[in-house]
Amino acid sequence: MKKNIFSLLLLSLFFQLSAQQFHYEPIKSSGELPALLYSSSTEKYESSIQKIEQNEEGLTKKQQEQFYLETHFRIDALLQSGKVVFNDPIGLYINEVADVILKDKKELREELTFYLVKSPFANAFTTNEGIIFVNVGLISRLETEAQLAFVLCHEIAHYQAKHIIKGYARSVSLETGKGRQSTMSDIEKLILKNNYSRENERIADSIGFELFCGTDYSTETLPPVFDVLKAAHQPYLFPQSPFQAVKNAYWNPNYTPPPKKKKQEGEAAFITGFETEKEDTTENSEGGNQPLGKEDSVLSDNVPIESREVEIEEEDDDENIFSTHPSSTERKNLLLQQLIQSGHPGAHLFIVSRDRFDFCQKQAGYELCRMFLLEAAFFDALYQAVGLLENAPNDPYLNQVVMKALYGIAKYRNESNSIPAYIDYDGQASHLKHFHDTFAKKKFDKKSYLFLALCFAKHHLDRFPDQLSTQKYMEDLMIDLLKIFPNFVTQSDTSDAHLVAFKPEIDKMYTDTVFQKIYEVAVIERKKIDDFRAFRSSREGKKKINKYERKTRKRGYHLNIDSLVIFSPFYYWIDARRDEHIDFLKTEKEQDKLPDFILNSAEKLDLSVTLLDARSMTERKSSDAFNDLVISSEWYGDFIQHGDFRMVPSVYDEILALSEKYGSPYFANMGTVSLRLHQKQQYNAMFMGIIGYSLPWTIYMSFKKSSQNTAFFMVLNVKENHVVAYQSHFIRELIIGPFLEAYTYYYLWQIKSDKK
Amino acid sequence: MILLIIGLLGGMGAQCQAQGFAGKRFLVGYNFASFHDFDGNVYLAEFRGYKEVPFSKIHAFEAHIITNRRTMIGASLSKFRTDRGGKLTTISGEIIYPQIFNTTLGIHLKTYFLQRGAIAPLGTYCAIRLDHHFSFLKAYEDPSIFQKGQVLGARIGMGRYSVIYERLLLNFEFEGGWLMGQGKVTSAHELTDSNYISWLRTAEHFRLNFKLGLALLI
Repeated sequence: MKKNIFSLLLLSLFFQLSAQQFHYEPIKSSGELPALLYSSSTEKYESSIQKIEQNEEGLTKKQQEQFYLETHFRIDALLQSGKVVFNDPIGLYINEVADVILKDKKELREELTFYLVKSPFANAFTTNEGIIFVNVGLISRLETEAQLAFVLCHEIAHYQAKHIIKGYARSVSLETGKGRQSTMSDIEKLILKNNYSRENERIADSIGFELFCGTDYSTETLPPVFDVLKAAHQPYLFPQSPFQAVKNAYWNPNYTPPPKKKKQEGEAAFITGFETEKEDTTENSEGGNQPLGKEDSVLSDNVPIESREVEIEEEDDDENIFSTHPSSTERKNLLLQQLIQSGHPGAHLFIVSRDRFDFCQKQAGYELCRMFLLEAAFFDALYQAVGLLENAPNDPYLNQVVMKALYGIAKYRNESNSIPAYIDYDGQASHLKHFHDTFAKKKFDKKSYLFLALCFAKHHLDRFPDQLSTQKYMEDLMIDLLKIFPNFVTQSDTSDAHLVAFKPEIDKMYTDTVFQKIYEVAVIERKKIDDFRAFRSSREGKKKINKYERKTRKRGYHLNIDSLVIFSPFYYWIDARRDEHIDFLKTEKEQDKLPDFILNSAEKLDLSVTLLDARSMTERKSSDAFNDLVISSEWYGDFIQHGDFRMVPSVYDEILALSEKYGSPYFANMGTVSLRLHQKQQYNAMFMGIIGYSLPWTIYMSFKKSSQNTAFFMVLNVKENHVVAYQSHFIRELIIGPFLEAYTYYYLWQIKSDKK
Repeated sequence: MILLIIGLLGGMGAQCQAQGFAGKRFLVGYNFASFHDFDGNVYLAEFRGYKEVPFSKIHAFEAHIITNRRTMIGASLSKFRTDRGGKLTTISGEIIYPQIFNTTLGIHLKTYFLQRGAIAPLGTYCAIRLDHHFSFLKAYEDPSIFQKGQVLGARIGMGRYSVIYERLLLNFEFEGGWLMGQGKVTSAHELTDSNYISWLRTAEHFRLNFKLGLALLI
């Protein structure tokens, strides 16, 4: 008992200290991973179908089997995706709030598990298996523990009322029903499904509120919960001076943006949403040529918050037939009616701990920045970070987010790729729209962005020299700048207005030896890139490259790598002939073989492989490997999402640490997808006609299913951010197991093989 | 010539580092080849006096080395023997209906260029074979009457390997072949060089075949 009290005191002290000096660490799992994560989906499914009762919720036995099949495999896919966090402080806190709600319902509590999901959307959802997921986006937006408790009550109500299986039954009934239902159009069916879903939401609100009334939580802050859910896709912070963070860091008071040229024909507009924008002819008169920092400067904060809201028509809050949820107004009214009837005021906005709630909310707010960066939503990340910076201007992480977001915007702008358009700028989102417009639309072109990002990065490096990865971002920006302005540091020809404007700042930065070193590296890298491009476009170069590619295709790579990390190897069996395309059971059966194939092949080849795979963590219940897998997957997703052009991923620091931990800069991903199609019978008939003696062959072909398999592997150097090797192979085969094994070995052989 | 081809194939194997199938570089197998022996009834009719549908029956053992993802080289030993048939007249004027015992040593190359993504030995392949046939013809009635000879041959084929269990593969192949030159009689008793019947029967057996077999990756 004494020990428990002591632990609680320590925990309390930790959160109090955390609240005062918040130091952000990305949300990650800790402790022992739950068996749920790595246990077989097939076993779970088989266990569920043994308990099937006939005609539950109007579903036949076969339909119930299909429901459990899809449910188990999809939940497990989510659990293993790295989006779900285990035993993290926020998840533990949510579970404690659930303990409070269900303190008198022990049996129900034991059936339920609550996990945090790394998603920016303000949402929570439940499953038929009693796993309730709460998104980070929701935690960041809720204001009180009582609000969180109400959301959990709502989700528990869904579980209690078996809404998931009922919803499935409803869908099946609409799809397979006879009589009137069989003649319905898809739209009619959708409307009926949504009607049913909205009804379930009302029921869940009602049952959830009853459950809530069993607690001592105050009802004072409940109605705004629906506003939070309504604005799930919008920013929730309203920074007073959104541009201050950028301007504080660097601003050249003498900078004068050059007059905007008319858009050249063929010049791609860099932001999808602004492709049709008209030239702003009033730019100069608005102060485009005014020094920054003054009232009408380029990045002016002197716009009142209220005027940042775009005037929009009042949202139609009536019930939308295409919505799965009732309107927030309706839900609020129903809740108020129940509030009046119940007369349950409650006493506490916080029961578990206010400090812990504040900590979780803050942690979630910071985590949003990370998630936005990972999704390449750079303006969202920037806006979220500058919003949080107003309360913590010297926070290293938030400043780093600003630096990475500016880097991302500059890179995308420079590559003429699109940045997500802010077309949904109603309500709160109009702040982001204003921010975005002011920042991106009117005054800045790609050169300005590159200089701005570089200057900010330099300033960031000066402030936080421990963050060594900043140098990598600077180097990459310089490489891009050197393409536009060869030797921009010492360039004497300053006819370009941008260079004129930024030259004093560059000269100042160049006095720093660190900056000089990064610049020297960038010059070398730029030269390498230019030389390679010249070589590639020359006749001899083309010939040699083609020869090399042919040779590689034929003979494979010889990478001579002794050690690497393989993360998330995957296999999917897709049967295009069935309604549910993924054959979950076959997929898992083959997927389960992959770790053995990889480790056995590596052993034969004397290749040191660290396998990060959620499915093969049976013996390693530690969350360390799982967290490493999550970072690898996030880094990989970030790396490949930019398409052709190279960017330093936003989790560069984290992947570097991982690379150090495993002693190799090489990370690899491999996978196979099998696709089953309808057999083309006409070829068999033709074959039989040509060669009468081919009876055995024809019989074989007639029974053979058409199958296509695509296997691929990719090796990446995480330090240098580039693809070292990539290969894919396509094969028509029915039995894929041996090919999986063969290709796994072949790919690893290429990694290990030395040309000599 | 065979030595030259062996040298070339061996050189190709050494040029590219062999990776094998999941680490297994050797494949051994047994094949049974059979097809309608088009002219076989002619020989049989000579002896038995009636027509039937004869089939060639060749037993073959093969060994392969997987040299790279799309190539295997190997050697084979094939054997067949015919029924009595094909009337011959010996030097002393005796009429015999000889049996032919054939042993064929061959080397072959199997390539997988037809099927994208194939990984040797799995998948559909094309095979080129060079054979050295050793024929032994002897009279059934009097074993002292014999003729031994050699002839070179070639075959081309198309087939595939599929895994049936673990390292056990199923193989089937269509192949066609022919003999190169007239062959050489190395020793004979009571038979002259002009007795070509063993070459004709050999050519018949290897002309067209459907092969079915099992192979083991080791």
